[in-house]
Amino acid sequence: MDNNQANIDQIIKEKLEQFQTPPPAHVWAGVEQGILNDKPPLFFAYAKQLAAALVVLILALAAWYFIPVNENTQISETEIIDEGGQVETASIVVTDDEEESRETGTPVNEIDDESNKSSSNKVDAKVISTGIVAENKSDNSSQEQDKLNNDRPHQLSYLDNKEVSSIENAESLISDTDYAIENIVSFNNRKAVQINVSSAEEEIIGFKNYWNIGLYFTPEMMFNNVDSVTLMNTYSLNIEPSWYFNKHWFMRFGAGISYVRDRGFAKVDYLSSDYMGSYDSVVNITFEEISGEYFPVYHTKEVDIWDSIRHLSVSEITNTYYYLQFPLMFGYHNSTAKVKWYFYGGPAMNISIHEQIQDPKADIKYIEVIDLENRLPLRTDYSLQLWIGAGIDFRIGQKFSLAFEPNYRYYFEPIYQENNYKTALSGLGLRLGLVYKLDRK
Amino acid sequence: MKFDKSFIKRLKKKDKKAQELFYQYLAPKMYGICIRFSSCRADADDILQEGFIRVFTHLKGFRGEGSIEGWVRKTIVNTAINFYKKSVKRGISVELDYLKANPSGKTFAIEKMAADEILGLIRNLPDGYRTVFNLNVIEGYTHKEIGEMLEISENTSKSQLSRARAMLKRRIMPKGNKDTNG
Repeated sequence: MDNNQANIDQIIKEKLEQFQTPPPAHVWAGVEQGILNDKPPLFFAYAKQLAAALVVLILALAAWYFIPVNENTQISETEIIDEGGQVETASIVVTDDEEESRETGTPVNEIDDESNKSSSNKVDAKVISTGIVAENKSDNSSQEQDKLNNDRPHQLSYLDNKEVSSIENAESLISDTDYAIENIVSFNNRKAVQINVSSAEEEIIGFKNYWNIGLYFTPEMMFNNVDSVTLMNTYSLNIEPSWYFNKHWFMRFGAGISYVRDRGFAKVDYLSSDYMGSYDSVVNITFEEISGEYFPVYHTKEVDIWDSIRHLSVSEITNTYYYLQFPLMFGYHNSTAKVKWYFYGGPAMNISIHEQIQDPKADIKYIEVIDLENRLPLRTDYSLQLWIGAGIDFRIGQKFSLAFEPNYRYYFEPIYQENNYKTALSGLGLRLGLVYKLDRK
Repeated sequence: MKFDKSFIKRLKKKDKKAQELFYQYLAPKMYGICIRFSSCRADADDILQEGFIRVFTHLKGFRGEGSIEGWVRKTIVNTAINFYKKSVKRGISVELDYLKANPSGKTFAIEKMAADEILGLIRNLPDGYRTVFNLNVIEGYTHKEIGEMLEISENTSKSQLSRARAMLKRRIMPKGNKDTNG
């Protein structure tokens, strides 16, 4: 009975153990849905990107907060050409609370007595200067200066590396020199050419449009919603001229090259000869006589067992693309003494100029490949995006400044050719720019 | 089928395309198990679906000890057991269904039967009998292990298996052999 039952069990086991049949298609749909429900909330899915955006924001705010700039202060710089043709530069700082004018660079040795009087009676002044002007006014007391500060809210200042003079000195200086903001470009019969216009100057002489040109490097992190594709960081290098055609508005355009990589996999279905174990094979039998009796002696040899086993593997694949990038942005800007802040937005177009599509191959030797299938989708040759960004521009010289621009890109159309990958895409980047200010016309 | 580490790594990253591939390769075999454990196709579908969701969501727990196929098989079997437990809690029994499903009383010679015919007989066993039979005879679990899994005593497991065998025997053994073997 037991033997018979064991036999039946064995037959059933053999027949059913490897039994298989394809499930209906709706089961996979249910599995997909179940996996989707298991995914973390959107916030956690994008935690890395959000953290990066937060860091950029904090850095920008920290830079904004800690840069020692007097609010409502503007700088104007003036290039002065004296009679001998020597070029001198000067910059003037004017604030709302304490209108200061700052003159730096080559000392101004002479100031015309009569030519520039227009504003001296409207503005009190504190003067700090090198050269003749400063030397003449270097013996003033701080009390007088405090008095001046308390009594007279509007002051015009010349700044110097050496010393501070009092209000009387400033007044006398103004009196002596008839220095006036409106006429600062015409010191002592010199020909002055303004090369850098600030809001203060704009208020005085009106805004003049100007250009700058920036070289921008952008590492960009992509928001990845694409199945089985890892979008590597994108790197772009752009040259973009900007036209400041209005006191607060500007336009930017240009061209750049973008380096893009996608990483995915190819399915590799292969057969390989795998080691399964070993057994001792009898190669010879001899007989030994012990006490008149013969006993067989088995001589064995270890034999390895190999079997052909089917494997499923993946081979990593990286596709590389190079795009030409053409942005066209419109933005709003505003300035303080050292910092210009702005935000902008507009369309950008990417056109593919080169691509390196990696061929899938099995990395393992001595195998028989059954199926090799590239599962990494190909990108389109063209894409249109919306760019939005904000930036801070720190002056690092007369003509140069550094720009930091957190930037967001949204792709209007799917970037992949295959229908299964028609998903919206976006990216967050930090543009680092070196900006050169062109001469005004 | 052996799944290489590179593939399992992709699965652990919840790569959807890799998951789909994995499902395509293993689902037919696992569906066979689900059918064995269930009384109808709809239940088999549910077990397979729930089982694979568990596989993909708990794959990080797979440490590479043994084959991943074995791990998936165990997960599917556990899912089938949970399914059975739920049906017991709901008070669902297919005893009557079983009787209705075998009105003819026809018997078969097991050696000549195809796998799906045997499967049909097993699926028509009552839930408890079928579960114990599958776990012991085909999956190779001991009665002690089955008792722990199903939260029944070892003796209950043994008696259910005995009854399952008797039922199957009545169905599969030719009448001529019945007396000689019994």
